[in-house]
Amino acid sequence: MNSVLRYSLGRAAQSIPLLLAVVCAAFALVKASPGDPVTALAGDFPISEEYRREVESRYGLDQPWPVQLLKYLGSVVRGDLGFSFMNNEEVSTLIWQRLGPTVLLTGGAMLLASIGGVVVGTLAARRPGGVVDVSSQLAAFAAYAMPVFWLGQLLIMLFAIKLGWLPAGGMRSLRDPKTGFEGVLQVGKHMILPAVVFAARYFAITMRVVRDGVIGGMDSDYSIAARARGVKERRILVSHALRNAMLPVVTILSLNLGFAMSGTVLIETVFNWPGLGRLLFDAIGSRDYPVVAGVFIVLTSAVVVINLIADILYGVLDPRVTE
Amino acid sequence: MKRYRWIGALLAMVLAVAACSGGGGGASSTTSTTSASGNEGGVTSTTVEPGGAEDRRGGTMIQALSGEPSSLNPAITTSTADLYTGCKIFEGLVRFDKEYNILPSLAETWEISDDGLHYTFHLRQGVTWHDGQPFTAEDVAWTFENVTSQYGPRSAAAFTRVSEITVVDDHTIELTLTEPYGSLLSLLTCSASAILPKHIYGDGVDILTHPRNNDPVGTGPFKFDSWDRGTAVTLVRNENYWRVDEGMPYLDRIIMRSFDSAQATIQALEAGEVDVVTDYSLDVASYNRLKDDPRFTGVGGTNNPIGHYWIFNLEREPLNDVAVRQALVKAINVAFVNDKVYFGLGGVPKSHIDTRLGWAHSGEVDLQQLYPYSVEQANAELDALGLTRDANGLRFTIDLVYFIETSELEETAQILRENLREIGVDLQLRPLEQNVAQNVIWSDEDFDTFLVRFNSFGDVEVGLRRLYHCDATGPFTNPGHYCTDEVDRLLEQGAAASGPEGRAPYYHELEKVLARDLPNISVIERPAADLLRKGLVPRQNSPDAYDGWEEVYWEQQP
Repeated sequence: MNSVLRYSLGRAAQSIPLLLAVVCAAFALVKASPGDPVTALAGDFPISEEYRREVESRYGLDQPWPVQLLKYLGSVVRGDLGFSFMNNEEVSTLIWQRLGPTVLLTGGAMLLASIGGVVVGTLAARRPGGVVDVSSQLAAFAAYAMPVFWLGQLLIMLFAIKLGWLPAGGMRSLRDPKTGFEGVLQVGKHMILPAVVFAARYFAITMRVVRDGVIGGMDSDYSIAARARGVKERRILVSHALRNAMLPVVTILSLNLGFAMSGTVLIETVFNWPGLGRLLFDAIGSRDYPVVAGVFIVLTSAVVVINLIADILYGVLDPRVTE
Repeated sequence: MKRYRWIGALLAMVLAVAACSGGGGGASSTTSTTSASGNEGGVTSTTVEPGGAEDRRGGTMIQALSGEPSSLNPAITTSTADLYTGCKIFEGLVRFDKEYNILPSLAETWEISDDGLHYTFHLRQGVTWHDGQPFTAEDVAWTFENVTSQYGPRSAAAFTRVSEITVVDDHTIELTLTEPYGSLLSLLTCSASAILPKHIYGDGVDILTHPRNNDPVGTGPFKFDSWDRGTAVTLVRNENYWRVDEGMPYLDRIIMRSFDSAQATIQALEAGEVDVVTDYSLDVASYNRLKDDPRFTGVGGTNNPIGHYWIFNLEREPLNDVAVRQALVKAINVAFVNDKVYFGLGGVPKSHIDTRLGWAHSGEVDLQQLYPYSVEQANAELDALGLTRDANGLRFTIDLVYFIETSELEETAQILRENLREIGVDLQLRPLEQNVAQNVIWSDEDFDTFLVRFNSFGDVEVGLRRLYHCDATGPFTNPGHYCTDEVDRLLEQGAAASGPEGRAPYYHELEKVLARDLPNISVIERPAADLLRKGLVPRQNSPDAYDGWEEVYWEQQP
């Protein structure tokens, strides 16, 4: 474990300048976009000059931009992500409130995609060219190709409006909210459609990787030799082929999570899910700089951390890496 | 084996975090405590029969909002999400009826001196704030002096004419003006000048970022209960509301639910998760599809006087020539716009003053008669002006800026382009994000024409002056540099006179002048409509979606 620990710390140290670059990029991106928060805040009615100057000084917009950047970096380090004028709330509070739903949905979807992908991929690989294999490949291709918002709305129309089996959106039932275990079940029910739609393309990717990995593993010299020794097919499948296929799955999972972080905006808007994605979407539209930068930092940090964990996990699974 | 323990532990941790923050996220995301007297809003699903007031009580209504409110204080904002929520919690001195006449609200009666300079308001007795404190003239005075006159987006300008605010006694307050201003009462509704509690906001903390904006105390029919950010704001019945002897408010609870897309809003309505969608959140196509659906009641003809105006930049050639503008106007098939974009549900504009403004609209000016739709005439007039067609059949090119967020503007823009092509004018479409467009139009002033929605807010002085007066500058004002002494004078006289009889003559004259000068043309009197779930009885006497929600009840629970 010592080598793994050293390896992990090394990777972690590399992440810090990366995070710093992320914060600066967030700041620069938002500043570069046309439009300004005062315009957004005013709504559709003329505002007075005093009001405009007031808002500008609150946002620090009257300072030169290097000063603004330094001030921002300083406060981020202290954990203060600023104040959102648009929401009348501290940015860190806003993000903290909306983080849970995003983690829940993304985590649930990735779990679904990964477990589903492994199971279906393995089943498909047992008999390449068979019914399971061909049909799952077709389904995966379709799932990958379909635009998320289209698939989402289609499923809402079918399951929520036509059949009435599932809710059309949101995370909680507003008419009849329950607490405790029943509350968890309610959240689960609301999560089914968005998680399925979200997971679709990552399921497709995972399934293909597992399938190809397992087929490759079953064809390797090791497997041929084992078969010759009389080892059962199933044992070869599980303890050799599948184990080797898991390595790329770990990498794929971390990549998927990274993409999912950006895909969350779309899913949350279609399903009205109260997460960071929608917060970001609103904030961009209203040029709420502190919120945009804050969410950007949180999401990219999450990706950095996830990749870090994936690297460590890979090191644990494959001793060759840490030597 | 050690490796698997690591993986197992890691996975278990991730799952635990996800599960905990999911379940816990519910409780921890309400930003405030419940109101002082606790949560009385238990869901009562009573089957209500039509009958007396007692039978109407009960039930929950879920209303869709476009976007999330930024705060629940309606006195400092024009955001519809903030106002629709905030004006159920707060009130103004007066409110509007369906025809934009003034009705009492927190002010029971009032007198205006003959010279129009003194307003005396007699406030309603026995009104309390949601925390039990009595509502008095001190609250009104404090709000006017510290909030409305500085931050009220629509009313601040009006309050520059107020020289003195005098508290005569607990229930009487006097305003003294420097000059007569006929629109003052129109600006004392909740959406323009909500009254705030002095005992809460008078602590010196900056009102724009005051923490109580997220946890407000008002006098309105519904009290704040909780705010689940990203999902909904929950309001419960104010048991001590001043209309309680009429049995109001009838509803136990109102839940204001946020949506970010029109699609998601309509889908939620159809799936039964929302009961009311009001005009700002309701696109015309969905309204048209669902208004006759047995599951819903379409409430058309709420009077919100919104139009889409095609505005000309009078500093650009050849638009600076009124004869050219007249020809362009004749090429626009406004009836077609109404049919195709609004399914025939809108109104064809008659003059520059929306017909829904009642007394201000004379009925004597008809733009469709003065400039009837005729491609031949338009072509002939442009030929006569020497603006001949080139080898490609084009006379000149102008651009059209509009906000990309509104699909109706996009559709209208397409029709305008086709119409103008027939007279040899190339209309280049420039759909822009609203935030960006605002800078292009009002900062850079870089446009030829602009298609935009304007709301008259029930009063020419409040809503239309900003389109025509020479000194109107800044976003959502006169973008085309139209400026004449004649119009300024008429606007000022109309503002200074009192009462409909006094003011109408100036506005009728204004209609004639604007019809002659054509600084812009309205392409539609946009239909304002709400969709309600069947069984929910809508408000009978409100022109817009701000107040009157205490009157809504379930005739029959679904």
